[in-house]
Amino acid sequence: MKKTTTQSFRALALAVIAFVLAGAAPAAEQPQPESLPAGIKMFVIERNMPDLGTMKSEQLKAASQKSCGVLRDLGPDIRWLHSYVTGNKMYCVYLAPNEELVREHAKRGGFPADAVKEVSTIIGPKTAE
Amino acid sequence: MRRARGLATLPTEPRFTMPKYVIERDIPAIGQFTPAQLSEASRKSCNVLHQLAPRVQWVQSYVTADKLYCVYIAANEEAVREHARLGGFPATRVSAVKTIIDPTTGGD
Repeated sequence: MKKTTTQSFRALALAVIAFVLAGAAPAAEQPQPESLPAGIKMFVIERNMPDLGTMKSEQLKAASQKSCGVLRDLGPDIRWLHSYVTGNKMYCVYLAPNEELVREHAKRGGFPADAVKEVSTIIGPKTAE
Repeated sequence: MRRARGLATLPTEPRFTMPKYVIERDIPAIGQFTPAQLSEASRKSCNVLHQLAPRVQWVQSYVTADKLYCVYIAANEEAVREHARLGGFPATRVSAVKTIIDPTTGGD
């Protein structure tokens, strides 16, 4: 059982991150894995969905709502940042304490989680400087 | 010579947009690269990007234990693969991004 203080701090930290990210362009601004609160990691999830490219915006909206509903049930430690939707695969970026919680979310939501990979860092053109 | 900037620098032609791509690069043990090694790999990538600018622009890459997930803006998939070929990086899978969704997509 986690300590209440640690849980509260972590939930607060995640809430602050979520608040800062709200409205910000995804992939342009997001937390660096190294700066996440202790016990929270960043994950990329691959979801193979052959018909994804034919889904209409209403279907994507419904899927997002379902996902958010499951996230609320699972508590504040797991956060969905954003997902890249391609023709037959979705790449999702999440914050969570472990892979098991990510897979639990997928199972409850009825989404595939074909690969769940912890992100150690995010690099970009500035990394070259 | 035009220099590839950091985040998305779109061409100035009006009504011209280039799609985003997600590229999977299977690179065993990439997660164990030191910061110096990652910096060197980034420099190499940027050198090739300078040659190909503005057809390929690097947004960012998520580094995991054995794979990179790279987000690029590019004219087309061929440009993405050309960058990979010139740089000596694998491009295991290249997918055009149709849209990006997040918790606000559900109307929350």
